[in-house]
Formats: sequence, structure tokens, C-alpha cells
Amino acid sequence: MLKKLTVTVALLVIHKTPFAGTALPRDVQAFVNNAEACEHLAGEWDSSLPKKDKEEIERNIDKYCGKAKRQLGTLRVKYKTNSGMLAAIDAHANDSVKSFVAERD
Amino acid sequence: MATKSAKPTVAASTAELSGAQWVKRFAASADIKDLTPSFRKAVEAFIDAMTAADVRVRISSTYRSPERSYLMHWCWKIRHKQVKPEDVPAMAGVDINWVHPTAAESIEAARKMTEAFDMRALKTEPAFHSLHNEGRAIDMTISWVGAITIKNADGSDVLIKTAPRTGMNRQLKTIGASYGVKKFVGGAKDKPHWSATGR
Repeated sequence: MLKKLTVTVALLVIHKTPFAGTALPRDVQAFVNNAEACEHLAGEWDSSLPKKDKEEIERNIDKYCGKAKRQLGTLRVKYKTNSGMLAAIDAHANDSVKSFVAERD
Repeated sequence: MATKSAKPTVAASTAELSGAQWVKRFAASADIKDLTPSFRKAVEAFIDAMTAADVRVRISSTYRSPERSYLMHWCWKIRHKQVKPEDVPAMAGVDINWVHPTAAESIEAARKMTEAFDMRALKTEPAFHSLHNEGRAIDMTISWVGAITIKNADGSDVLIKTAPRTGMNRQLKTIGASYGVKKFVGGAKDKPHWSATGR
């Protein structure tokens, strides 16, 4: 079982499959989904978009990047003794999640 | 005996200092002609089919240059003090100097750029890369009234009478895919987004 989980985690780290439904623990999978949504949305935002579209992206960035950043801190503590899981978590801790600021200026 | 200056030493640079004037120099595109040729052909065929079926299509974004992404990304990072101006990598074709005589002036110039980019409410850095930079993504708002009959890529007619009557319609997504225009796989997180890969 442990071997299977290690292989799954390793494959996920290597392929970093977006929105993949794998055998990761539910809390890690939730983080992965949020982090990937965050990264995608950060690539979508552009000042040239219609106001309504920009506001929707900003709302979704608040939602998904905010959740992912909170989950990242929690999961790093929870899985601090599980190097395989930490690797999977860190592989999805993209710059869009890490740079998220909770409050606007 | 030399005295220490209160200001940081700034390397001589012929590059133009950062500021709001940079924002309009690399415009975004909502023109299908700016897509990569194979994806452009697919998008044109899909939109032609939708238009023939009385579907309303409003395109809001196609291509974004890497230079534009570079400016958006780094001015946000400097503004939020997540990088020192002197540590920002240079980019060919963007002769910008992020380093002003003082750190405060550098941050203020970056702040003015983020304002000009309308980033006041944006809480994360704009990503450095997306499929829009490759000309392989398009954002479009799609709507129609009642039932429609639309041609698939193989020429067959498909009747759509299911809801929603938007780009989120499951049958329309399948038709788009037949042309090589794939709806974003992340569902409602990004409703206007279609691409060559579904990402």
C-alpha cells in the first residue's frame, strides 16, 4: 500500500497532471485542484478584458488562490514527516499561489 | 575619506525607466488573426459554424505577447515588494530599467504601472506564461436563443435544445472539440476560455 502511494505521488510530481483525480489524500487533492485553478486564472487576467470578465477572474483568484495558500501552510505542517507527500505538495505550490496577498492595497 | 551615500548605487543604463508610459506599448489582441495558424483555422471554422446557427459570439482575448506578460508580471512583483527591482531579469525587446535612483521611487513607478494595468484588485502576480502567449487560446462569450442546429466538423447537423445556452453547454463543447477548439477542462472556473488543449 505504501509502495503504491509512493509511486502515485512520484508520478504526480513528475507529470503534474492538472485536475488529475489520483489516489492522493483528499486534502492534498483539494489543494492541487485549487493551486492549478489559481495558476490558470493568473494566466488569464489581462487589463484589456471587459470589466465583467476581469472582476470574475479576480473573484476566482481570491477564492482559489486564497484557499490554496491557506491549505499550503496547513499541509506542509501536517505532512512534514512524509517526504513523498511534501514533494507532491511543493510540486504544485506554484508562484501564483505563493505570491497571493490576502489583502488588496 | 569617502562618505557613504544615502542612495543606493545605480548602474548606468541607457534603458528607459519604468513607469506608466510602458503599459500601452505592448497591446493585447482580441483578433483571431493573431492566433497561431493551425488554431486560427480551427477557431475560424468553429465560429463560422456558430454564426451560421445564429449563435452570438463576442471575442475578448486571443493573443498576449510575452513582452506584455513580462511587464505585467514584474511590475506587480516589485509593487508588492516580492522582488528587488535590481533582481528582475532583462527581456530582449523590452528595454526597461526597473531600478530608479531610490528603492521607493522604483516601487512607486511599479505602482503606477500596476494602476495603469488596472491591477488594483488583483491579489496574485499575473502568470508569466499562458496559452494566450502562444496564440493557442481564445476567450469568448457565447449565447443564443431557443434551439439551434449547428454543423459539426464532419459536416453533420447537431440539434442543441439543452441548457445552458452559452459556451458552457455540453453539446457545444463537443462540437467545438470536433473542430479542435477545446473548452477549458476546469469547468466554471473560467467560462470564456477555449484553447487548443483544453487547458
